[in-house]
Amino acid sequence: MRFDLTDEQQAIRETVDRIFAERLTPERTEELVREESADLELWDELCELGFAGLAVAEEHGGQGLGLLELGLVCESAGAALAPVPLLANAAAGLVLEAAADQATRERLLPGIADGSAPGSVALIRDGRDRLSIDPERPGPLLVVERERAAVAEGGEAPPARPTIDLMRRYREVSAGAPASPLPGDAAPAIDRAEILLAAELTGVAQRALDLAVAYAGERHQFGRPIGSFQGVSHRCAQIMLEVESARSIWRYASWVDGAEPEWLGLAASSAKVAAASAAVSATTGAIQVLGGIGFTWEHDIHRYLRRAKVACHTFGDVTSHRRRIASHLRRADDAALAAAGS
Amino acid sequence: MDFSLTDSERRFRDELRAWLAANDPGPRPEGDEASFRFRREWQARMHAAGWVGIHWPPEYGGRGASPIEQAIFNEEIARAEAPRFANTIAIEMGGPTIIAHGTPEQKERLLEPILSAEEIWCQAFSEPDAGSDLASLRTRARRVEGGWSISGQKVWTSLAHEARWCMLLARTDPDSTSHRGLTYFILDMRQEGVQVRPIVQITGEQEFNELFLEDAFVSDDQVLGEVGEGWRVAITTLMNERSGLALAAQVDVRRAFEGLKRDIFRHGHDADPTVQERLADLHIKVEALRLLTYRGLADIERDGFPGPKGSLGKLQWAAVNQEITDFALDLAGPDGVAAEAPEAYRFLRARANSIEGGTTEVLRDIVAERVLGLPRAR
Repeated sequence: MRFDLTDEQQAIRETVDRIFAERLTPERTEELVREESADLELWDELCELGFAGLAVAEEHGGQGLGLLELGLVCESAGAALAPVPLLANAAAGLVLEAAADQATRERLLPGIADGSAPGSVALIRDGRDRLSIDPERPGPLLVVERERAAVAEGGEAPPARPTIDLMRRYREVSAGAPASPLPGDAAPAIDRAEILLAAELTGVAQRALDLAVAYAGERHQFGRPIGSFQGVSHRCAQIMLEVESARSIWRYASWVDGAEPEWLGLAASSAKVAAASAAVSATTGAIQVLGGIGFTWEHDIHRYLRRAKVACHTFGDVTSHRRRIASHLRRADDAALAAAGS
Repeated sequence: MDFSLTDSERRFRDELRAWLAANDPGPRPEGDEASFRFRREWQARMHAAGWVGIHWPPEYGGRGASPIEQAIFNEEIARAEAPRFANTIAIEMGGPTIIAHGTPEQKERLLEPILSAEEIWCQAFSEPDAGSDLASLRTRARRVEGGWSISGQKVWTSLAHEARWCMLLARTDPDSTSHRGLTYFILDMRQEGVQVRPIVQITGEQEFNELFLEDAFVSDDQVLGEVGEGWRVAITTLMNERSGLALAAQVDVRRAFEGLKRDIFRHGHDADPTVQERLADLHIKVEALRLLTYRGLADIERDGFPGPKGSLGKLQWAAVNQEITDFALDLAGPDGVAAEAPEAYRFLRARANSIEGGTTEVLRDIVAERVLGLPRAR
């Protein structure tokens, strides 16, 4: 067993962190927000370096790495709120790997691996997905309803659905649009996508905490840095506990996926709920620490809060995930009881 | 992160699992004293088979177990629902402090009886006026022929009535006021100058004691570390307390959570959506506790000692255990608050969790200052 990252995993994280820090300057981010645009130059750079196809099999042009490596990239992207279709594309790749036949995989995965035809996913509930992440370029749309998936290619792009999230665009996808069904079970792929979203939200929460801590160290009131007041410092310590909890749980879930697939659903739902809660408390808490400046348009923090809140409803919503955790726990208990009785 | 066992880890687990399967501790007795005796016998039995203090180096009776083997050990103990050891304070805190700072003679004399539970240990750091502000303690040690004469009052000393030895912190420099001028003593509890008075706690039990010291004698060879260096030695004890006990305590918490779940499902409480949601959030917190404790092990493996991040595990442990007992009490309804109800007992007992072993407030200070790098509060 090992409970920390390998040197290679550490290196992946440092590389993407550096790229995001260099490219996403405050001016560049401001420009992208104003133009309501993704950063396709940055996306191309990431694709060039192989990050789009990190977990796609090598035979389809990817790097063949695991969910943990992909999650680390998503965590960095969350911390930077990088406006690139990394998550949508990765999720689509996972659905294709899980549910598509060989011919479809061979046809679509290379475009996902090199990012030239980024995929996206719509998770249908009550006939539609109102927060399907926009892939920003034409590519295959994977429409998933429970364990069934279908792929839509070409055709008209689904209508945009503006949200409060300034750093990512969404579309509304209705079930029933023309799409070719895929033979395999897509449910595990959706769980994996939730783990990636949890990783992203951990990054969101971590950056919110970092912004709060930095400010609390600099800002003086009553002749002292505000971070020396326990009302402020204890809030930060509590947020850190939540961030580290969320990080532990999504990383553990990525291991469960490979090692104990029967518990993937429970682990993925736990990761999503933990990370969404951490992101909401970290961003709201950070705004409180930042005071008036945190309430301004100018400060970055509101973008993080916006992402955190939208992500609570992206893919599965947190309330359904909580119910699902409870039913998984009941199932585990029934199984243990049956095993003890037999 | 990789939770799969390597071959040698699997061998370790299988050996322990087989031993636990072959050695049934038998029915748990009721009552404090009987239960303590039971845990003491259980520890002696596990020690005879080499399963106590596994993280201690082999030359001191341990197995030199890696932090990961410690984690496996705790998992297996939880899985087998085996009793906790009687001398946990000494195994996790006293012993490691002696190993780090003790003389060869102290190690020779004191370590083995810790593992076998022949000699129970207690700890006397806190005083009526020195709780979280431990460095302000006032118990005095006066130089006398061949050693030190100690006078003062200590409080919250668990197991003082059972203990042979006591980890004691006292002021050897009468002119000092803070953490300078303190010395770490190993006090023989069997002497005239040591009076133990039990404290009846919130549950009605007597787990803690007050300690009245009146010219209690400690010989020079029972000073642990250098005279005046007691604070540094005490930090070893406290760091081990927060990480080592968290590792063992998280197992107890998970066992309590298993019990709670069983209760919920047997009674069908989970038909209620609010119960489902509360259960889900609690599951996440219990998982976080387990994983935070393990990630703390990775720090120990890398740095050789538990770091300030260990405080996160203690914070989480206290909150989670309190929440479990609160939830169980709510679900039990009027039966839960009946005079002898176990739910009420556990709820009351859990009030100590955020106070003992570093209050939640002190631990948040530590996280804020030493992990997040925020300016000092004081």
